[in-house]
Amino acid sequence: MHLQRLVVWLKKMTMKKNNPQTFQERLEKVQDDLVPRGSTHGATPFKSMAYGASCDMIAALVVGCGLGVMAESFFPLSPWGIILGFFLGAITGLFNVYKSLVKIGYGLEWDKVTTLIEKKKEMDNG
Amino acid sequence: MDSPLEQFRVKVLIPLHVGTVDLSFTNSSLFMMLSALAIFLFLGVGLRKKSLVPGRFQSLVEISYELILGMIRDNVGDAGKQFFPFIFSIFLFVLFGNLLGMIPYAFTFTSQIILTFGLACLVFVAVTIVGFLKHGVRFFKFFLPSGAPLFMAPILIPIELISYLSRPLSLSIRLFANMMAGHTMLKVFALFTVLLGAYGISTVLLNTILIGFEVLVAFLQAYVFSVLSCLYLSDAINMH
Repeated sequence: MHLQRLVVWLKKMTMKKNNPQTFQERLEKVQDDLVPRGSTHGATPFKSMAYGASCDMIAALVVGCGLGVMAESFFPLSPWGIILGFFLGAITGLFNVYKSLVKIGYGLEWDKVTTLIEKKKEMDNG
Repeated sequence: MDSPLEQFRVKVLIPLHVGTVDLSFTNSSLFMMLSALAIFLFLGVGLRKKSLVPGRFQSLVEISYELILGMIRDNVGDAGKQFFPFIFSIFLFVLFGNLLGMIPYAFTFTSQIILTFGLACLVFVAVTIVGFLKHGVRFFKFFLPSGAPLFMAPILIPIELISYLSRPLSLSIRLFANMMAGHTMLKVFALFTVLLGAYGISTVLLNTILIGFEVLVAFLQAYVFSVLSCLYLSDAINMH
């Protein structure tokens, strides 16, 4: 008896969620689909994120070194152009990883960082 | 025995030189043309009947259409709809290139970094032009993240600039490295099968599983390339 009730209730629940029965429900579903959506960055699976992060890091390092070499060919900076480019590229690579972490909610955005700095200043001042 | 990397060699089929420029028709060009032809047939045959209740082939076309349209709506918003043909073409070209490469003795043109870099540069230049057309000089504000303290600008601007310039390289490495690594691995295991003789059956089974994974990677990489193009487009349009 109880099992039968449970099966009926489960059927009702799934029908309500997946197959809107009444015309009003179907209309609402279609209208909801037609509403213009804003920009939302969906969460990326961790494995593909890790692979992407490694690609980002390598690319940033290559571009940083490339810019350094270019700077050396235009200005008498040798060897500091490539050294600076290397470090800037490495920092950019790490920064890219941080940005992708912020996107999935594992870090602080700049607004929050600024607020924290201001709070710290206020606390230091008394 | 051929090296596992022999499959990536670009061979000239029809030599053609215009002045100092080498315009030879290669196996890479042939498979790019075959890919374009396959896309043309896929869409042409799929949409021939245009029935209200779609058949199998029409469903396949409609699913791929809706996948990319949904991706653009989710990542860029409604302003990105005008770029649908661009993203859809890139998605299908990469997907068919990857899938054609899965046929034995076929050439995988997406495993050539010059091609993936060319595609990524196309996206990069297009996105930059869209950004400047939409925001004008204000597009440079993109290089200073909103909310960042002003005293950090001398450090953040070069970092953001390098990050922006590294996008085409990052996008191209992702696709090229995946395809090249996957195909090399398949060839290495195929060589094991030959070398192991009767015991080679174990590597045949392994290779069968790997081929399945490689088909998955073919779809996934085409999807990732399109998603990242959408995200870059979103950055240019929505400026964040």
